[in-house]
Amino acid sequence: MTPDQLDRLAGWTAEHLGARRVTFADPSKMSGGAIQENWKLDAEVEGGPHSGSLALVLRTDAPSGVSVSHPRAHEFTLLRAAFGAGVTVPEPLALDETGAVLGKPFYLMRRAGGTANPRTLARDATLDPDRPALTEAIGRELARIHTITPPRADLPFLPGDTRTPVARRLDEFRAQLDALPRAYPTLEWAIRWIELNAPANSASVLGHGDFRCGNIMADGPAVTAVLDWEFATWSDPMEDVGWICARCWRFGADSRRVGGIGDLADLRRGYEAVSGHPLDWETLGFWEVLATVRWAIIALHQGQRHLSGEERSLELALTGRKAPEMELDLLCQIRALEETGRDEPRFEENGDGR
Amino acid sequence: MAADHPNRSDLLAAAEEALRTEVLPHLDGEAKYTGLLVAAALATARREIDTGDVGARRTLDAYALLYGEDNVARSGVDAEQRTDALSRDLAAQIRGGAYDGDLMGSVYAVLEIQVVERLRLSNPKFLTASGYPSDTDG
Repeated sequence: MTPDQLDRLAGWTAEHLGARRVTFADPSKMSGGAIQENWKLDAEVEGGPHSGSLALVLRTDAPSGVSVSHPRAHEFTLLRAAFGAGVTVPEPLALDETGAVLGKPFYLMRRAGGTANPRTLARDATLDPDRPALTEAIGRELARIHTITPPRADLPFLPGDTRTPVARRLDEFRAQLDALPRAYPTLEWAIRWIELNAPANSASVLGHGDFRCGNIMADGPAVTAVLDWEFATWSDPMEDVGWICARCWRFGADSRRVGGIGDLADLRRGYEAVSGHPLDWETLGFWEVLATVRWAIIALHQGQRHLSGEERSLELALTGRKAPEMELDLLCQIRALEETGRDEPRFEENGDGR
Repeated sequence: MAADHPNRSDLLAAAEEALRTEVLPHLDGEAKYTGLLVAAALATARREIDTGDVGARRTLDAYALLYGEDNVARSGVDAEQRTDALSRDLAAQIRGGAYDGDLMGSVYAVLEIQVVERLRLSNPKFLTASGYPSDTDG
């Protein structure tokens, strides 16, 4: 960020926060995000409702920010909707859609404490005593997200059509597979199984779309922020549950079904404490299968992004080679569902929150 | 032409070992993470070299049970081209519903072998953790 930009940003921020004056300490770029850039900003605000020190994040597009995800303005609107529904998100404060200040759209939000690092949330034994309470808190957050239901005049950009959420995903999966240079018969097989075994349809709610370890910030037993709303869409509420529970998002802590963080019973207790609508938990295995296909295809596309030269990266290259792990998950989980009607053949939960 | 020794597999193994024992202990944070990724890439590349076409042959043998030896032989000039073409055929058939009544039948075994053979290269530890035996021979 140039000194010029920072000046313009300070003036613009003061105006939007109803302050006399805003000064920023040196902004620093936060790690992560190939599609977005996040800047850490510490502001001193003089006057207005936010007077005092304000810890902020500025979120904008990365230089190579081309994607299927929502543009920043939509993300800001989603954050506002979530904040309004009582979801623990960084409070969205101001949006510049025009690009007049920084040359590209951005928004400001409060900066949350805690960590989203999966190495802590899934692997750190010192978190163990807090796991049941944290997992329950995650369940409450998810239920609050799912209280947002269509129609919503403020969210017109969310795709709405007559297809079921499953049918929409399957169309998306097949189009994404067709865009790859090779064929993946195991993924086609799982997609066909999904199509033939889709549960009778249920409610449509706001699905976060990427609700998992890595996008949930926590501090001990408390959720401090639910991040990364760029893939939010109207969906079945169980899709988010399947995504956070799928084996491939447990970061090696396979015995803790909820994202490697905690046990399903705790998530469910938290969810049901908030939600007036019971979920069909029996369908979780189905939704984990769908989540696993989705992540496998994303992984293949990440490998392809490296191969095509669009973004050279060893991490992307190796992610592409992770797809067969998800394919084996699919073979094992679908077989288990077919044979016994039950899932989770290989990794038992300990049942004690550890 | 016979390759000089130590050969490419030996060199990759030595590079990985040196990285793990002499370089990684001096790294932390992002650099250590990248170092671990480099080690993983070297290990996968070495396994591919050491395995040769064994995995492809097992995969093609599985396809032969489904399509017959003749059709497998006709599907391409080498193992890679054959695997690619047969995967494409099977994917299209599955999508078209050809196996709808028998998703857990003969097609399952072919898919399983193909996935297992790919995992032997990319992540054999995951394979054994999933209850599959490690590779015994070629």
